[in-house]
Amino acid sequence: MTSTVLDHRWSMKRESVYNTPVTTDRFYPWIDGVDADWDPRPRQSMGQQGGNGRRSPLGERRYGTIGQGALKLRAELESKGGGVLLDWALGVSTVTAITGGSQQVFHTGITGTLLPSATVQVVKVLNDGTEQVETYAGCTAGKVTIEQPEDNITMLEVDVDARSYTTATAAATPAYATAPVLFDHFQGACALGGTLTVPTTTALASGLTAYADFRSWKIEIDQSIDKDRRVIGSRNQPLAGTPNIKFSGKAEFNDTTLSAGLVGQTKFPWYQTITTTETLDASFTQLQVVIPQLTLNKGLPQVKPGTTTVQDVDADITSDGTNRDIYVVVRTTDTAL
Amino acid sequence: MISVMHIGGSAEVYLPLEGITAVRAVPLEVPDEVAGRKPGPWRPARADEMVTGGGWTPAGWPLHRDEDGTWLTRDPGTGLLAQEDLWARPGSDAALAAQQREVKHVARLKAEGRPVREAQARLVAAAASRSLDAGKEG
Repeated sequence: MTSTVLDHRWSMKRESVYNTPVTTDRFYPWIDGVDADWDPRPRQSMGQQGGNGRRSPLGERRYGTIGQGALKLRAELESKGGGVLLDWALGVSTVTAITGGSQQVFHTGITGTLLPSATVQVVKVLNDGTEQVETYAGCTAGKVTIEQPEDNITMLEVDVDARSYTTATAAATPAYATAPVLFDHFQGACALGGTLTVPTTTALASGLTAYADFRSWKIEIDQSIDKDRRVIGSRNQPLAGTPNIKFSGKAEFNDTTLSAGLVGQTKFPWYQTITTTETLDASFTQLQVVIPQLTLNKGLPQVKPGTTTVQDVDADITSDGTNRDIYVVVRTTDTAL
Repeated sequence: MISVMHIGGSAEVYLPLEGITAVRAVPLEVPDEVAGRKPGPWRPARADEMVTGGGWTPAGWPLHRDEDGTWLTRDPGTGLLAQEDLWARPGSDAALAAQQREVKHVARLKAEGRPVREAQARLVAAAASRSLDAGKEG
């Protein structure tokens, strides 16, 4: 089959057993910045064997060892078809039926020390139109970034450690949910401070005070995985460490909430809710990102005459002792992940 | 042509390479090579199928080490039917379960006055008819 340069694609599926490959079945449109690379971790013997005028190491004393993959997966968050990706990226999910679809709640509250693993397949179209099908198994989402760029689509980015690789597996047949709605900046609403009611299996989080000053934000979840568990003859599944979760963004200096919160080290609950125009039940499909507790690190506003002041927001996300560190909630017409 | 059925969470999916749209729980005729085949059973891997460190056989089939240390492999299947969570042959247990879920889903939508897709409505009618027939036979 001859493909066009628009036919690059990637897909994934959660594995039941780490590094036991499965046929991928969730497909995501290719976005600039998606990257998949395999390091064969070659080794060159230290022993030097001269003779015959040689001045460089003998190539026959070089070989590959247990390789390691590094992938960067990016996806625009949409109202359909994102559940499997979010489930794997964040670690835990619940799916509850609501009229017309489901509410899917994702968070990072894994039990034990292991994150879920997935098989990821990346199809790269060669310049001649043929395809290179790269399949990576034992994929662990080491770092997850959820970003609301200014005036743009909400993004998910996942940095992945992969355990094994092949080009021999056939490309999975792609299928995409029809007519998804993209979650976008213009349909968002933020809230900051107040008394948070965290999301239930059927209701979004609520209770916070509307806060319309954010222009953009980014949440980075570094799971601090140990991807160097090289035992003799193998490499073990990475362990999840203590996550380091950061919030950053930009907000207009329209009030003193943030600067006062910085100085007073206020512990703010925060959420953003995006409500589309796609009908679901008596409402619409929605995406909500919820942080029960964030504390600002730095950044009193810096003003400049004649310009709109926008302040940098830099915060740590910490546990409030009761709730999960972060929740991502999707109300979707999908009835399952 | 082979009949397959989309049994996943999305109400409708589009197959861009084939230009086909599939409605959940409604049988769909597709070319044989698009339908493909289901994965085969796990079986012990032969020596020539072993790859150091696990992962895959040279043919790209999955390798899995079971609890007693035996390496297993299986034909991963091809085409849509290789994606067992999303596609099934009509009449299979997975397809029947998906149809039953869909009947309940559509009934709930109708009961609450929500819009229902035409294909789903036909499915509900067909399922109701089959239930009626089963009742007469019983």
